[in-house]
Amino acid sequence: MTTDHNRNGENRVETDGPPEPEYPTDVLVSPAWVESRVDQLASEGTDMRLLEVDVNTAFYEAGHAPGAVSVDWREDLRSADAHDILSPQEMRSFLESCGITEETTVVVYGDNSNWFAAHLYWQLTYYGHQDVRIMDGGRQCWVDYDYPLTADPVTPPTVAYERSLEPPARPGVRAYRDDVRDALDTDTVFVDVRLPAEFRGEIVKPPGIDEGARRGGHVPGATNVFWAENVRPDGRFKTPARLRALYDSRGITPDDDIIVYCRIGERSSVTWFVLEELLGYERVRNYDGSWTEWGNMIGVPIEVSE
Amino acid sequence: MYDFSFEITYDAGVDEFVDLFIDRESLRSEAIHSCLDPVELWTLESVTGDPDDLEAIDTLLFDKSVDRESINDRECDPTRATSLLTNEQRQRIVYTYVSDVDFCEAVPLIVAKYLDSGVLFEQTRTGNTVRWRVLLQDDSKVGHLYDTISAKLGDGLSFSFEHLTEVDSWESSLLPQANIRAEQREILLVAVERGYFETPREVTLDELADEVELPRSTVSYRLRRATAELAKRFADRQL
Repeated sequence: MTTDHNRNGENRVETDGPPEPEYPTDVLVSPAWVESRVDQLASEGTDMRLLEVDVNTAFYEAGHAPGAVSVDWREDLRSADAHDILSPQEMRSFLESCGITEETTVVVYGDNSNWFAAHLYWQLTYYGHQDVRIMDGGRQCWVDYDYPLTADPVTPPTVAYERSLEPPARPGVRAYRDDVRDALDTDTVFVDVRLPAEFRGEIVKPPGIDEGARRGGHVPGATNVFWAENVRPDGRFKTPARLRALYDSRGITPDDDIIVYCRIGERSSVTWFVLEELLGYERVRNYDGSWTEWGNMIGVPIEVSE
Repeated sequence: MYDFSFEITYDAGVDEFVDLFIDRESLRSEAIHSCLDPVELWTLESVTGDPDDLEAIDTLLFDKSVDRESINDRECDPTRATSLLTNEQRQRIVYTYVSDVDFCEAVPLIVAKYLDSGVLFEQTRTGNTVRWRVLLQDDSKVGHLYDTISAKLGDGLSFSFEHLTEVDSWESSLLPQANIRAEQREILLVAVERGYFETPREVTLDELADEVELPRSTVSYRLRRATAELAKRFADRQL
């Protein structure tokens, strides 16, 4: 590729790590922020906990940030019996087993520019955990910029999570199928974050993956903004100005009522995080049933092609 | 073995190496890559085309600073060593060894982060399209590769999935197949040795038939089949 050396510092010579993100640290922290707190993160105290959650679960064993607890999205972040996100009881057990109390600062990161880290962030937001943050750039950035790695597994002591998670404190960040149905033909903006070929209905699931839909296409009226357009080549989020310009260019504005979705609700968590937490859009919901639900339902409208 | 195939298309102006293939339609490149560890990669690349077009590409082929691998504009600075193995009027075969890779957003290097079981990569460039065929021992990580590669593409590049199938054959101009039957090869070698292809012929078909103790019609048929196969293979390499 021809390298553009002067675009927002994205191709800077990488010697001492990436620059600090231009976002509040109460939602997004840099690898340097995490590194400077490694001792605290790796301690048995409950002030702060670091969680790595990868799509490719083999990455953690190959090396991870010191103190990072492994989260397996297949086992830990979904309710197998209910085919749903974690129930309040399951979320409580999960947090307690990770050494997290209601007071703990939780920092999440993972591969694929924080796909499942963003999904965990979204679930924790839904249940009202007070302090959760994403490490910008995720696993790739941590590894590429030569931050310390260890292969030692981390098993924090189990603690008690005292605050009630039922009902979820912020139900407004989640959309159900009925919400989607009710929002058809209204001013609600649907943002489909899948690949254009998935949006057009040519592909119903990635190759080699079983979980898909009977029908291809998208929710009628949806706008396709591929999730990866939120991030730079090294996995960090784009600058606020560039993210605002991206969504402005697609006609998506801060006061819109927005529902985001993808195939199983994890990639759309990245876009939800960008719109809700980084750009401060007013009302953004993640439809976690996403295309595996909508594309399999009987009697709902879909749209194909552009 | 599984074959995971996809195409990446490039807008003009985003990749100087691809730009030459866009500007000069006679150019075609076939390459195989191997990458056992995400810090190094070797590539055997055959570029064919009109002599003028090949001369135009020589500079880029041997410029160690030219990044022919990355799929986005993230700057990477590995060590590149290039050797010219074949230098003909209509073909170059180049071996490239890329090492000391800290990070490089090249398809084989991205794949090697997910798989360590010896993946083989075949790459074909024509016009604005680079076609990848990734040959894998198992298909359990293909979904990850699809998601990761498609998400890493820089501005001006687009991804199109072709297929994921079990492999039943592979033909590469870099690894010519011995698809001439043994009995055809035998008569072909005798014919060359006896001067059948010289001008004028130093041996007749009847004399060859006597020598190998076969009917003339059989010898004639086998020679025609063998030369037809060679001619077709030659033509394939020119296309």
